[in-house]
Amino acid sequence: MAETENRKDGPRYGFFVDLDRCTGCGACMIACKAENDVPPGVFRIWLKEIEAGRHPNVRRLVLPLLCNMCLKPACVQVCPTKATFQLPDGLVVVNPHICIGCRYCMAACPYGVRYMNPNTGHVEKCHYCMHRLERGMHPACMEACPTAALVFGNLNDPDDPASVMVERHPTQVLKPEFGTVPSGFYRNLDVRLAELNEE
Amino acid sequence: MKSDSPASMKRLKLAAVGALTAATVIGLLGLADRFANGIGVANFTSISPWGIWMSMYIYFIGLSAGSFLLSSLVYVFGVKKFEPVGRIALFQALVCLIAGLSLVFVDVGRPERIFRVLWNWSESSVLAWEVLFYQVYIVVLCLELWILMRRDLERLAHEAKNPLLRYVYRILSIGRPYTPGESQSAGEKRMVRILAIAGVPVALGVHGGTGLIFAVLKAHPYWYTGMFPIIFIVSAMASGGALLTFLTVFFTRLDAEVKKTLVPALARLTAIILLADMFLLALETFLAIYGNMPDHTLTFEAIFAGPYWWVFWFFEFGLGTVAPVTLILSKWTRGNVRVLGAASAMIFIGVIGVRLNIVIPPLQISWAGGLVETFHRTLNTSAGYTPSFNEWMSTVGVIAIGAWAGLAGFRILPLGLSGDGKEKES
Repeated sequence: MAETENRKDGPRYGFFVDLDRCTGCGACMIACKAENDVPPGVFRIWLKEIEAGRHPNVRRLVLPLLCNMCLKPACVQVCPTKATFQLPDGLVVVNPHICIGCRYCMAACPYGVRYMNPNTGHVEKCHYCMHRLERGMHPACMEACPTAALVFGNLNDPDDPASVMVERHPTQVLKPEFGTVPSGFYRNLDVRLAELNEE
Repeated sequence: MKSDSPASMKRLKLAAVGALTAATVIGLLGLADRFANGIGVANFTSISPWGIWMSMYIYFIGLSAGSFLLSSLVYVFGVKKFEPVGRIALFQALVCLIAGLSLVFVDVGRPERIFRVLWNWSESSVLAWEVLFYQVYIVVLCLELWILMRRDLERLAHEAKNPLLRYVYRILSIGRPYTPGESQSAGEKRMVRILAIAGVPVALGVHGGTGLIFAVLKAHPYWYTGMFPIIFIVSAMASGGALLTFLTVFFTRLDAEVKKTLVPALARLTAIILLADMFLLALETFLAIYGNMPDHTLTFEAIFAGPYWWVFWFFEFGLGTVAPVTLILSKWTRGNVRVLGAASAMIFIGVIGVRLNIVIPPLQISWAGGLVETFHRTLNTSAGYTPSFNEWMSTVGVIAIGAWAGLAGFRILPLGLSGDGKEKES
């Protein structure tokens, strides 16, 4: 509880995804791979494609999935060596020098956004391109997105574009019932899910 | 089965040793490949991070904890009937524990860092607590077994003809000289009892805790139940009891008369525990069907009718439960020691299926963001996990090395009752 309150003063990094804009082109996945040297077969951001309905009434939802930087992360709780931990600004990161590669965090993550680097044997994940954030730049996926569907920023700063978008549009988070308090906000997620459930 | 002639027994033994040697060679190649080329030799995916290594790890930890709990029948509750196999149960617990922990070593991406858990301690991690539990457990186990064998080790250090073996015995008995006729002192008896009593919560913690590793993962509804640690403990006792029965029948030199009373009792106990385990599984299945929550029922669907349906129906249910329980309880076979031994082998092989089905199917379910109800009851085949050839090879390797260690122990260590003159150094 105290942790969450502390974060009211400092920054809280999160993202906004405009599901109405995302075309599922996959530019974000490619940009991330190039930026972060992600090996083949694994991804830090990936697109979940969900199809539903019966011809001719078919629906499809493309859902970009990346680390939600939960305020109460399930992965941090289970890590036996504290290799994965939470920074004061809300970023959940992995220390590659301590991780033993047990993959407990991968099993614990309700969002499926962690992976093990098969070359190094430790777990890696999205860190919102921390190295770019430090230089005042945007994450690589956000820069690559041709429809500006992805907006990263400090959700505690009311003037930050991400905050503005979350403020302006109706948004929902993924799996709120898990109590992980994710920081990824998806525009009209509930409407899209309801559409998928239409017969 | 009526081929008792020494020649055919010899042939059987030779075949078994040959198979084990082949398995060892294959296994060592697999392990060498695994450690030379890294964790990339395994087929894990982002969605399915655990596979057969993890399954076999919990299998062996279960065998170990189950055997230890059965040994407590002798050393805590004083059940005289099981006394001849008390030490075997403890020794088996030790070998299985080491096999299980070796599989952890194979399974983690950075095995050289594994002891980091101790100094980068995380009190919120069940896994970290488990590492601690395993260490306490191994100390209790070794001490208890050693105190029980102490007098015999001293005697063997004195009597053994092979100088190398004599040296081994001298080290194991820490050089204490042999006094003929000396038996376990009252202090040692009390110590064994204390260790055995202390060991019960530790063993329950070891395997219940292993179950808890899974049970705390809310991301997987199949695991996220308080019943999971209990299921782990019950199936552990079933597999431990089965292995103990099997070893008692085929690998001990107990009198035929002793076996005649001991083995059916052990087998019956195992069968009852196994039925209890099946009952718990049935309860879980009932809840899933009754609740009809998609991400919960999907896992059961994967177990009962997924691509690996036969793991449940053939290993777990047919070979692992129905057949052996019938053999153990039926009035035509329940007195036949060898049939009971074979039935026990079916049980502990069947529990491998239980372990595979605990670890793998829940990870195969396509899930993301509370959306599972929209996935229209499909299994995500793209995230699906099939063990790589190397995973099988290295698993076989660890099992083969464990089998050699077990055979060596049976050969060398005084695992029978002391003073019965049954152990001969070979």
